[in-house]
Amino acid sequence: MKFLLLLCLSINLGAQLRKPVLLELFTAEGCASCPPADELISAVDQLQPIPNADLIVLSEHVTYWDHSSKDRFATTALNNRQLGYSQLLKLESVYTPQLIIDGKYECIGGNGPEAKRLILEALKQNKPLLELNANRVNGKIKTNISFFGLNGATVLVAIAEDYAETKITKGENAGKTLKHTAVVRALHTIGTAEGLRYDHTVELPMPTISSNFRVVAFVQDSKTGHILAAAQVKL
Amino acid sequence: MRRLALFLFTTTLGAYAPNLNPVQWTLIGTPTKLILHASVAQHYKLYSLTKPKGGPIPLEIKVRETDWVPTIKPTQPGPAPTLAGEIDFQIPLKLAKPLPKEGLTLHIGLRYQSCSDQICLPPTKRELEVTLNSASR
Repeated sequence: MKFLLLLCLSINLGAQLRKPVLLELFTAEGCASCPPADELISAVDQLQPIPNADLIVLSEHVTYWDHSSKDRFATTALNNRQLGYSQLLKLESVYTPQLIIDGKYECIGGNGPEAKRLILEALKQNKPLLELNANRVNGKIKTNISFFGLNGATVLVAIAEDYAETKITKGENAGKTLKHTAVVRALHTIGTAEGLRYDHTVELPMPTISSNFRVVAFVQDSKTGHILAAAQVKL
Repeated sequence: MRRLALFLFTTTLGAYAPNLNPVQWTLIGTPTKLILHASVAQHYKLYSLTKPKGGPIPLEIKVRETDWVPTIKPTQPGPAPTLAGEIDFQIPLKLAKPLPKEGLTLHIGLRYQSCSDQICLPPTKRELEVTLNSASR
């Protein structure tokens, strides 16, 4: 059985020509330093500038800049997610814009060269193939996720709006029209991987989204926070 | 767009490691005045007492012992909405009661935000204390 598992894993790894790397940008519309990072993540998403890498981006908006006006994409759940990374990475504080790369590395969100260096580090890590299928069914998002191994790891699915823009009227970004890419509108914990193969179908509620969206599934080590597998489907 | 991505990915725009505790505070006091000193790290700015509404929060300074010090009116050097480098905030004190022989410890609460040109930190709280005694008059 072990041989079969190894065979399946190696076939899957061979089939995956571009290695997925998950880039989570913690950002906020009230943060004056964030627009360059939003721009960088948008360019990375569209142009995929690193050969052999499938750069899967998520913009995760935090609420702690909501003093004068509310960032409509920000949630306290995403604050908590960033705080969790801050604790795992032993940082003194959270900040924006912060880029978390595969749950393992972090840098200032607008620091392209450092992001590139860390992405190349992340690419050294082999990941099993995560197969993801997602469709709209009766106002819900029917999602199937399957992969081999990764026992004990947590399976998550993000629903992200492909593109969004906001005209800012208050605060330091007042007068700017901010453009966002892959804005997380919902993040669901699906379950825990058990056994040789995880194969699970779930129907997720459709969040209110004004543009096209993408479904991003990823598997995260519950203790270290490292991303062990990831995939995305654009709908 | 491709040029932009390549530029962003390969050009270091004065990047530096983030300092996640960029403002260091010290407090000294006499029965008539407190001096709150802020040392703001290079590249960073502190949102000042006079920052207009909207966006990041202005610096807030509170004395916890309101029975001894009912109100304070701290001042800063100049009206700028952001401050950098070494800054002294002057806080005149009018004690409501005579200073006790054993002295008086005041607790000062701070709430503030700071940013560099590359990152912004969430609202931060600090508690400082200073002991006043008649010898420091």
